[in-house]
Amino acid sequence: MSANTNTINQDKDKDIYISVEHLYKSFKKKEVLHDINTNIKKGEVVAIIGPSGCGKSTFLRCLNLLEKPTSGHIYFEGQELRPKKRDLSKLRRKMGMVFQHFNLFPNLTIECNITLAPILSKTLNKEDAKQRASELLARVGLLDQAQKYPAQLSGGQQQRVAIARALAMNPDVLLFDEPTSALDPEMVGEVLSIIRDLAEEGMTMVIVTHEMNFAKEVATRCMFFSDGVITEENTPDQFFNNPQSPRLKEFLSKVL
Amino acid sequence: MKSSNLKRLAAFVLAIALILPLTLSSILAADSSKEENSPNSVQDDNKLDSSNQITSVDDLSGKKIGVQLGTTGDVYISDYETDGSGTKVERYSKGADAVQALRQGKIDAIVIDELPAKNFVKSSGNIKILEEEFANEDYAISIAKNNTELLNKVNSALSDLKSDGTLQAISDYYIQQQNEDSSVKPPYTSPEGLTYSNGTLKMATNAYFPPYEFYASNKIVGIDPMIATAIADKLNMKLEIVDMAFDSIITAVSSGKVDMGMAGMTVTEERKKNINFSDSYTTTKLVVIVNDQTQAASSQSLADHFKSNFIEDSRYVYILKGLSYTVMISFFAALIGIVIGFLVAVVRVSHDKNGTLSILNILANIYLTIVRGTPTMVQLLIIYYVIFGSYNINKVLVAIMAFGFNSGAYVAEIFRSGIMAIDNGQFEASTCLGLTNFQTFIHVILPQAFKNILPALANEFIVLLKETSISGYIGLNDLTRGGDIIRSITYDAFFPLIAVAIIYLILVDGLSRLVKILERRLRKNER
Repeated sequence: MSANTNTINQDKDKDIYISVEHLYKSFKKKEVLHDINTNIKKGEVVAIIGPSGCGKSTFLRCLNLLEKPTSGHIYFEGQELRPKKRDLSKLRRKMGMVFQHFNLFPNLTIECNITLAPILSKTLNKEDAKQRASELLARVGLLDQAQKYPAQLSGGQQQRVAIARALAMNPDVLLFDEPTSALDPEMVGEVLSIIRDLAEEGMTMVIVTHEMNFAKEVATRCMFFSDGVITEENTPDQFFNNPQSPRLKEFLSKVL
Repeated sequence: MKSSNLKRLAAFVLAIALILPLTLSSILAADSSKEENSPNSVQDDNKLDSSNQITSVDDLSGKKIGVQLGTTGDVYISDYETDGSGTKVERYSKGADAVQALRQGKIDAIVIDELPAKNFVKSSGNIKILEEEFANEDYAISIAKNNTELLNKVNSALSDLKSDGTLQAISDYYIQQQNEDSSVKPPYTSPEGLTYSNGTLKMATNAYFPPYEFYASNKIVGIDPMIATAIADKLNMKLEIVDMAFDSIITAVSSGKVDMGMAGMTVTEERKKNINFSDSYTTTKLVVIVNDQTQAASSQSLADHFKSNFIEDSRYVYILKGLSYTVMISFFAALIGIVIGFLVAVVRVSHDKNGTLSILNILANIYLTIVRGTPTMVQLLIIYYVIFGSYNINKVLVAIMAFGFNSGAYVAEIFRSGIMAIDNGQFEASTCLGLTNFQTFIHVILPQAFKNILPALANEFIVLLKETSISGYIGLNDLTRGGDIIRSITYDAFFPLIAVAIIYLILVDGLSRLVKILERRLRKNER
């Protein structure tokens, strides 16, 4: 009987990609995150929603240690992420990130933006990396732009390239930090549709977003952040149609 | 492309056309200001009154008097400066500069040794030597205090040369050359078959003091070099002459940079405190040079001036050789500057961004403070005379190190500003792709930073190129000094200075064009 429980536990552990335990984060004296505990399982699409300044972006950036937690633990695929850890960059490769402002490398062509990391990390040789870049660009519909520079592309196109760049390392998890906030309205759709495709393929994703309809449609779980804590989390259906906490009710009444 | 080249050429010609008349008119203005003297003109510091003509040594009191820095003329006249008579002393690093100032009316008289004075009067014109002499003095060779062995050898060689008449013959020969009688054979030439088994004898001099020492056909010649050759031959040593500022010679001798100093140097009590003097090899007079209003200005055509400045005696070689040194020093100093600047910038940025490398950061800050807080010329002199004071080291190497060391500080701050200007998102994106700090720096940050700092970097190298013109202070014959040497021979300020200025202009212009091309290439990825 006891052996059986063990296997169940192990299976459960295997499904958990990211585990957050007692995460605290303060900037100077201001506490931004207060005792966050949560797990992100394989195949989940977690939408993080909340008013600005509630700590949702900081939480996302703590997941891959772009921000150093003040205290607490973050485990990724069973290994703890620590700032001084030597294979931190190896673990980060399995956790892609897409930024609000794209952060493409302006000095490199679109193709080189995508092939840089696979070549430098020696996960692919030059030929294979180029091949992979072509596949990814075809997937985001930008194969004909491969030899251009980022400044020659529109914001929506740049964000699609950024997604392709993150995918080039074959990550297990993708983190999105407000991927459509810096885009003109007519370009939001093209980026969201790519994220939607990824969700359908079963990619595990954590998305900080203000697009409520998109969250309702794509997410498997919605998380509401306010004042540095997770105030409420639920399935999208319950989250939007049957909110429990007064803060979430108030928030939804404003944005919907 | 063709039309833009034409435009540039036109702009260049226009610039020259503007500079030329300006310079010419300033020369003419200086000449006329001392000729026209209205009776009611008030005497001021710059315009001098010809009624105040100096006719005897007593008249010197209260005047503006030029001397060569560090000579005995300087020592004597400095007493006038503090006796309350209002005498002003202008100290020049070269006698020829004083002559130019006298001719332009900037000073009233020059106190200098007799033989150089005769030389100046002969080649300059419009000036004369007062009949009354200023003082008598002995010239001797300076040798380091602790080197009594060499002192004794030199003294015995001198007494030999005195008794066989060689010393007198050498003086006579160079004084006769002043009378343009150059058909006479030199009184001393090294005998055949000398082996120089006792090594080299290094002699410091200041080759702007004809006929004792001066440049002719790209070599330092004169009474002192010929006597020194005779002494060196007697000691079975090979003579090597090092040209430097007169006031640096005693330092060079006492620090052991050279074995002896010989530069028409008068024996004084003050100097004896730092070095020993050999027996005197000649006695000379200090005389006073003043403007000679009776002589009319000699009229030479521009072509004659050009010929005497560049063609005669292959004088253009001074400029060409100087140019090669200037280019070499600038190029290698720039390379060193980039390397130092890069490393210092990496240290400072790592510290600012990640708080690492604190000890190196402190060192980098000390380096920046020192280099940016002191004049480049002082750094150059310190590196040559203090740090490498007792080493025999190539001057070009010293200049390259000094300018590279200096430039590194400025380049470091340029690099740092370039790196700090890169959006933090670039570091974050690169980190999230799993690149190491080093990979991020090389592949992402540096290419972007370089493009942004290129104009500032080019500016720094233009400054560096022009700043190498102070190399002359350690006796290095760079481009500027090449022009100075010609100036000291021909007493013509216009051609050598303008030629040097034009060459710098061409170098800088070429450099800016190269940078522009590079910039255009780097900007190809922007709309």
